[in-house]
Parts: sequence; structure tokens; C-alpha cells
Amino acid sequence: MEKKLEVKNLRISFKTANGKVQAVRNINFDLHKGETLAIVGESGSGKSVTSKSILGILAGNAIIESGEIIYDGKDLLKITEDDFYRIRGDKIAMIFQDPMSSLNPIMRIGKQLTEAMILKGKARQRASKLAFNSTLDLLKKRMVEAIAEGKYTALSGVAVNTKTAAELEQMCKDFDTFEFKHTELQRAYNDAYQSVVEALPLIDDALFHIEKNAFADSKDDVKEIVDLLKKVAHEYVVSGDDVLEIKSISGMLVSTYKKDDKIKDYSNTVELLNRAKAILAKAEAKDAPDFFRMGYYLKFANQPLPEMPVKELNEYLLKYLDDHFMLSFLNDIEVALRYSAIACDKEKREALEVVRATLPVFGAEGILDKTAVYNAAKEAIKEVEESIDRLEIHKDSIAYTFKTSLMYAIDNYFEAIPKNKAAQKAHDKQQAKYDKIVARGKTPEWKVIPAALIDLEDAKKDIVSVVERFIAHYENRLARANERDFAKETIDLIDFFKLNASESVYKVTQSMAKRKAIKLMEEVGISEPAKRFRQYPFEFSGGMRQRIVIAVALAANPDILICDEPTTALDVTIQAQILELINKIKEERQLSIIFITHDLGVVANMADRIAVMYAGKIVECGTAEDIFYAPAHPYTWALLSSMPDLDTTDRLEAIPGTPPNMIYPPVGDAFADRNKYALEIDFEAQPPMFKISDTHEAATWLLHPDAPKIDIPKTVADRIARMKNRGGEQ
Amino acid sequence: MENNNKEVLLKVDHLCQYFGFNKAVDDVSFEVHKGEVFGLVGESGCGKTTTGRTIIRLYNPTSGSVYFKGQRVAAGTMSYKKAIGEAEASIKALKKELKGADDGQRKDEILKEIEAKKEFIKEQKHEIKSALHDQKHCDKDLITKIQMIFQDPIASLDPRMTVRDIIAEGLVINGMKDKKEIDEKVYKMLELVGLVKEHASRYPHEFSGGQKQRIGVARAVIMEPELIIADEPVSALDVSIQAQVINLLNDLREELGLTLLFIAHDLSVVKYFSDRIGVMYYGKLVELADADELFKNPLHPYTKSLLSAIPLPDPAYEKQRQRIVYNPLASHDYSQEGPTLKEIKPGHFVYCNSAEFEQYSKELK
Repeated sequence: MEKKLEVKNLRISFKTANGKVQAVRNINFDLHKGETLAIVGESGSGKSVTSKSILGILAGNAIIESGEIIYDGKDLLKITEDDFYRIRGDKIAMIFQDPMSSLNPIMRIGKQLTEAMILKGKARQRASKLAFNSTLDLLKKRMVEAIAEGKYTALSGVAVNTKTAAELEQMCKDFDTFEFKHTELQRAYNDAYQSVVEALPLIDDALFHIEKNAFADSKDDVKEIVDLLKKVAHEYVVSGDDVLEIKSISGMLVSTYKKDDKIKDYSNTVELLNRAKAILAKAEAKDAPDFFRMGYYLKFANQPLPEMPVKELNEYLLKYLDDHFMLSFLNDIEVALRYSAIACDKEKREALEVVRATLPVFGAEGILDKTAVYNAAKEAIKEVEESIDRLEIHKDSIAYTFKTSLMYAIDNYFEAIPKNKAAQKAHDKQQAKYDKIVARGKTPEWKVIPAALIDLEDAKKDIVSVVERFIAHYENRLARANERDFAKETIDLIDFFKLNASESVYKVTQSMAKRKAIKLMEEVGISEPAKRFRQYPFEFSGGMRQRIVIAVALAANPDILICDEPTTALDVTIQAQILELINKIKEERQLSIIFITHDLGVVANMADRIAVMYAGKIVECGTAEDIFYAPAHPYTWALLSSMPDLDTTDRLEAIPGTPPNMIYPPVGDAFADRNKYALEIDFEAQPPMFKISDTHEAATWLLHPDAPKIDIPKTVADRIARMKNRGGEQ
Repeated sequence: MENNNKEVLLKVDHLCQYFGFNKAVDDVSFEVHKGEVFGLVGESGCGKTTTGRTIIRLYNPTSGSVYFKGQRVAAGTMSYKKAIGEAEASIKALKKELKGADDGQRKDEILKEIEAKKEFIKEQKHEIKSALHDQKHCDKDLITKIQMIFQDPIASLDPRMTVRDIIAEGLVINGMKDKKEIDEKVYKMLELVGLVKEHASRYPHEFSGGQKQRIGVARAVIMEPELIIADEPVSALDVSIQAQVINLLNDLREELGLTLLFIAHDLSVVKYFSDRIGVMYYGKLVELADADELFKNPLHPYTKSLLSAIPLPDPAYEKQRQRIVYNPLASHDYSQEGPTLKEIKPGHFVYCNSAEFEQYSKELK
């Protein structure tokens, strides 16, 4: 599966008046496409901090000590605020815990929903256009280069090359032209078809309300239906005589909601609605032509479309497109890709040499030489940047982040030297003051804060590890250079062009945004969305507000959704609705979700994988089945046994005590103090991650081969047995 | 925990609480027996918190009465006023008829009827008077025997008061002056809820969520209440802390013989903790039964939908869980006959009309 997000070795602490609180300590996880990762833990375990660092919204006193969060070829911990602006909310969205503080109290709900859509719509249009044009230019350049260097024949497999550079350039230009024609056609069709799809359930709704004598509701429905019916006319949706029929129906329907309330007889309306339904159902079932092919035909064929059924038309257009343009264009793209790959592989080999040469500089004993290090880094970065194959659609994240990661690590190292000096000085001063008071025979009420020193050796190791990882990665890539499937990459590239073209002409207008917002509000279960659209946040109850927040997060159609306890404040029915909603949207949009919660019951429904966090560390990680059916860490046991389920009758096993103070993190396992299964070693050394299966690992000494055998607590074991029984019944 | 004590401690009788046109609580009746835990569940906005607050007289009820230990502690007048209005209207109609009537016998009948109606109005007016009196002059000592634990432990503790002041506030208000005695009581309470003496001089922000809720519990228990209304006492807490607070409430209940009205939306917790459960939906009590009975034989479609929405820590079960959606328009047909709360089985009440009653009875068998 494609990795969407990688968190590596993340360490975050907070500077407070009492010292440095270590909130997150060396966390690693990956998030795959279309997967839900749940992070479970008590409040203060660092789960929210982790999610906030992904979104770059940590509090001002946070210190990111080390680590990387890699998304789309960028390290989110090191990019500028301008870059983040494009990602935050648009690509990575977040649903916050407290709905009141994440909505603007003096702004109507509708505006809050549509504002982002309109702003982001414009930004996306620009970005897509840029991506389309720059990639096409690059492609053109590579094609021309391949011809100029006489490599075209060798790479394409064509015996004799008849193509000239000018021809190739013309082809790219043609592609550009008809691709935009395609998106125009497609959009007109989508508008009409979407209206049909939306109108059908509304008609059912209206009929249902009329049947149940709830006329007030049916009136709103009818009004919306009439609005939608205005948009359904399209050659391939509702066409011919049906258009006139729909027009006359909507004209008559208008009278039902515009006229006075005295109408008691709704049989006429019912009949009209049924007629409209029949037409729309027919329209919905119609085949859609392929507008990509049609775009080319309309633009370059110079003759009207032939009269034939949609299916045959599609075939005909495909043949026309392939014969005249596509096959040869695909071949050209493949040539360009191959050429680019070969050229870049050469560059990569050179880059590898240069980067390898820097290792002794970074890894030198003692304090590093500042100028030498910066010079070496500069050269390595230049080579690496040149060696990146920019035509690859799946970005090589390690190469792309090499520059930021390396510079960050180096800066960190050299900034640490004066910082350490200052910290030591402050500490010494305080210590002297303390000693003075003690010498006078008094005991001060305050404690000396330990100096916040940065370990230079660790910082140096960070630099070296960045370089080493890069070298290993490039070696691996070069070794597997022959395995690339260029035919597939060609198709991917065409899809990339199609996507960006459609996004660059997709203009979000005010009314579109409003319609989408109302639909979203309905999706998240808000009744009478049209009326609610104009209300202020204070007019909503807590649950309703949370739904609005979810709608806002979904409005931008993000890649990754971070849910920070989204349902904690809601009651079960709404919670179930919202979880279903999130699950549904995940399926539809292949969304990756990070779901943060302390409620294990919620997690069972949502998560594909679960990471249990305690005191800033992941203590157990596995699939939902692993965690619920075979938990291994005592903390997971404690969590499971402290929550009642429907069959619980015994006294609950609460976890005694509170989480440790993370200014002075314990030497050993952080959970040892509250753990009744703690071994002696738990108080002395931190347990490493023990692998239990391919998907399941836990950090507890109990899994060490020498550890005594301890059974899962009875309450948990009983419950698992019960669950398995129930599974057997079904 | 079996509870065979049927002594009625709290009786809520046709309680209504309207805020303008919003019928937050609409004709709710139930009884809470001494020593039991009565759970009240429903979605947010269904009126369960309002019910609790009306019982403890944070609101004045619109209509209906609340009896605590047999004494009326809160009463509303709207139902009487409505009855008077209806009676007056019918008198008007009768008078009109009287003018048109020429048959002597019929005239007498009508006159008699009017007389009866007038008598009825007089009775109702008396009822209003007594309700207002009870509402105004309810026994202050009695009402302090009902205490409340609030949902949000952070918002419900005054950040500028020390823990001692917070816990002792009720005592001070009720006229206790002896500082030493107050301190002693506060320390005892702190110990009872699992805190220590030293905590008394601290401020709320120095405590974790679970500890804050313990302070909230101590504040309620120090008044030696007989009934505690716990309004979502654990929903703002972490799972591990939730267990601590639930265990604490359970211990207190056994030690002090408390009765609890437990308002919550987490059904697993309610099931674990309560003896009987009432389910509310849009201001109405739609079903009321023993906890086990309710979970075994849910009858009202809303209860069914509520039970089907409970998340369980079991991924395999969760993935195939079918949630039942409740749509009042689709599930009920009340055009012929309106619903009332009917006892379908000893101790098991459902809000339905007679046609549904038949259907539910069949389901039970």
C-alpha cells in the first residue's frame, strides 16, 4: 500500500517554568492510503501533541528536538509557513475536540463552511494549472532532448524515426488544447447528472412527507427539487422531449409552494413528482460518453459527431483518438520517461559518490568544523537536487526531503553549542543561589531546574543518520532501476494531467459552495440545513456544533483527516452516526485517517491499526484484532479492564495513580509505577519494542524470552472469550 | 445489586418544563425507590439534564409535580390553567346552547352541567394556589437532602476558591459556623472520596480531571444527602479515571445507602451502574424498565436504535454491526390514537398507543 505519511523518530518537548516537559518521546509510525490509524491513550499521553505537530500548530513553547514527518515529498517539521498554508486544511484537515472553540462565534455557519471552499478553490485552481503546465513543459523538454541526442529510436522501439522536435512540441500543445475541451464537456455533464442524482432521493423524501401529512417539510423539498430540475437539461442526461416535460412539471410544482397554504389536496403534486421521478430515473440509467475522447474529436476532427448510441460512439471515438493521436503520444511520453530515468540514474550515481564523500566530514570525532560541514552539505545538496527525476509522479520523498532534513540537522548541531552554553550558565547561577540559601541554614521552597542541554553527540548522530539513510535509499533505487514499469507510469502521467486539468478549470462559485455546504450539512445529519445555514454557532447544541466542525473539515476534500476525539462530547446515537459518516467518506475518497481517542469501544469500529500511547511513547501497536483479541502490554490490559461493557457486573479495575510527571521522566518503563505486573527491570531500563507478529509489537519486558509467564488479567480474558463466542454464533 | 426496597423516595408526576415553545420535558412521570440507582439516558437535547435540574429546583416546572419523601417540593401550574381554560370555554358553549334550548328538562341539565364546571374551576384554582404555595414554601432542609454532581468537573469548580471552601460552601450556607467542625467534616469527606487532608488548601487547577470530579462528589456528599442527581459525572473523564469515579460512587452508595439519579449517555456505564433505566426522547419518557430487562427486551423503536448504537471493544462484531435508525414519522402512526406510557409487563413501561401495545406484547412472547 502507498504510504501517505511517515512519522520518524519524533521527539517533542515543552518549555515550561518548571523545566522541560517531554511530551512525545521517539515515536515512529506510518499511515497508508485509505487506512485508519487510531492512537489511544490517556489525556497527557502525547497523542494530541503528535497530531498537532503533523498540522504544524504546536503551541509556542514547543521544541521539536528531532524527527521527521514526511508527507508528499516534504518534511512537515521543516517547511515554511507559506508551504504549510497550502497543506493545512486542504490536504490535511483536522476535526478538533472542542467544537465551540473551533468555530467563529460571530460568523454565520454558512459562511464558515463556504469560506474555505471558495478560498481553497482559487488556490487549488492556480496550483493545478501550475502543476499541469510545468510538468507538460518538462515532458516536452525531455522529448526534444531525446530526439536531439538521437536516442529516440533506441528508446521507442520504432525502427525509423520520422518525428521531428517541432512535431513533438505540437503534439504536446494539442494535448493541452483538447484536454481542456474535455474538462469543459465533462463539467457540463457532471452538473446536470449530479442534479439528477441529488433530485431523486429528494423526490422520495417529499413523497414520504406528503404521505405522512408533514406538508411543511415536503414544501422545502419541493422547492429544492424545482431548483435542481432547472439544471438537468443536457444532451446526455435529460434530452429531447423530456426537457420540455421537466420544464412544465417544475412550472406546475412552483405553484405548490408559492401559492397560499390553503391547498389541502396534494394528489396533483404527487402525480407531478412521480412523473418527474420516472424521467430522472431514466436519465440516471443512461450511459455516459467518454468526454476525453470526444474532446479530441470535437477539437480536431472538423466534423460533427456521428449519430449513434452512446456505447458505439465511445468505441468509435476511442478508435479515432488512438489512430490519430493517442498511441503515438503515449509512445512519446514513454520515451521521455525512459530518457529522463536514464539521465537521472547517471546523475544519481554521481550524487551518491559526492554524498558518500561527506560522511567522514559529518562523522568526525570531537566538535565538527563549521565551514567544512556547511561546504560539504552544500555540494551534496546541489548534486542530489539535480539527480531527482521530476517527471516521476510518485515522488521520491527521501530525495526530496534530503535538503531540508540535512540542513535542519546541521543547523541544530551548530545552534546547540551557544544554546548549551547559555543554559549551563543559567543553571549554574541558579545552583549558586540555591547553595547560598542552603549555606545560610534554610531550605528553599523551590527546586533547581536541571539544565536543558542538547546532547551534541546525539545531534551529530542525527546528521549522520540522515546521510546514511539517503545513501541506502539511493543504492536500493539504483539496484532496482531496471524494474520500473514505464508503461504504467505513462498511464499514471496521463491521469495526472487529466486530474490537474479538471481541477484547474473547476471554479468554485458562491452558489456552488452553498449547495455543497448544504449537502454536507445534510450528510452530517443536520435537519433543515437550508435554514440552519444562516444561523450562528450559539444557536446549535454541542453535538450539532461538532457536526458542523466535521463538515468544515470535509469541505476541503482532504487527503488526510486527523480526528482529535471528535465524538467524546457526543451521545451514542450521534456518535454512531458520525463514525459511520467518517467511515463512509473514508471508503469513498480513499481517505487516510488518524483517529485519536481514549475510548476503546469507538476504536474497534473505526481502526484498521491501533497505536496505544503512554507517557509520550507508543507502547503497543497492531491491527485492531491484535489489540482487542491478543493484547500484550499491561497498559492495554488495564485500559481494557477499566471500561465496562454490557456484560460487566464485577467491580471495575481502575488504573491506580496518575501518569508520571514528564519533566522528570522515569528511567525505566513509564508505566511501571502503576503496573501490578511490573518486573524489577521495568524500574531500571526502558523496554524495547518486541515483535509479536508481522503486524503486532509491544514495548514491555514481559515479552522478553527470560521474563516470567504472566497471563492476561481475568476480566480481559473473559471478555475476549465472550467476544470469540459471539463471533462463532454469527 | 438486588434492590427489593420499594419505598418511593422521589416521585416525578407529569412533569413538564417548557422554555417558550421548546418542550424540553413533556409529561414525564417516574418513581425512584430508596437505595437504587435510576439511570436516565437519551441523546443530547432530549431533556434528561433539564429533568434533573427541575427536580433540584434549578428551574421552576411549567406543570406537574415532584414529590420527595412524600412531600411536594416543586410544582407547576400550567396543567391546571389549561383545564380552567377548557372548562371556561365549555361553559361558554353551554350558555349559548342554553339560549337556544326551549325544552325545560334539557335546560336544567345544562344548568347543572355549568354548575359542575364552575365547581371544577374552583377546585383547579385551589390546586394552583396550593402548588404555588408548595413551590414557594418548600422545606429547605428537605431540599438539601437532594444534591447534584455536575458534568464538567473543570467548569463546575470555582477556580478562586480552595478545595476546602468549595466543599464546605453548602454547610456554610446552611448556617454552620464552627470552623473546626467544618474542617473536620471536610477532611472526612476528602478521605471518603480518596483524597488526602493536604489537598484541602489547594486550588482546583492543581488537580487532575478525576481528582476534580472527586471534589465534586465530596461537595455533594458532605450535605448528607439521600438522593444524588449525578448529571453525566464521568463523560468528561478518561476511561481509566472513569472507572475510578464509578467505583467511588458505587462504594459511597453502599456505605451511605445513597439513592442516585444517574444521567448519562454512555449506555455501557449506565447498564453497569443502574438498577432501573428510563429512556428519554425529545422530552418524553419512551421506555422504563429494569436494566437487564431493558437490554434484553427493548420494545420502543428508539430504545432499539439507541442500543444498536453502543460501541463495543470487539472489532469483528463492530464491523458487522447494523445500526437501527429511528425515524418517529416512519415508526409510529398516531393519527388515530395518541400514545401514553403503558405498563406492558410488571415494571416495564413503554410509551405507545393501544395498537402498538398489542404489537409489543406479541414481541415480548
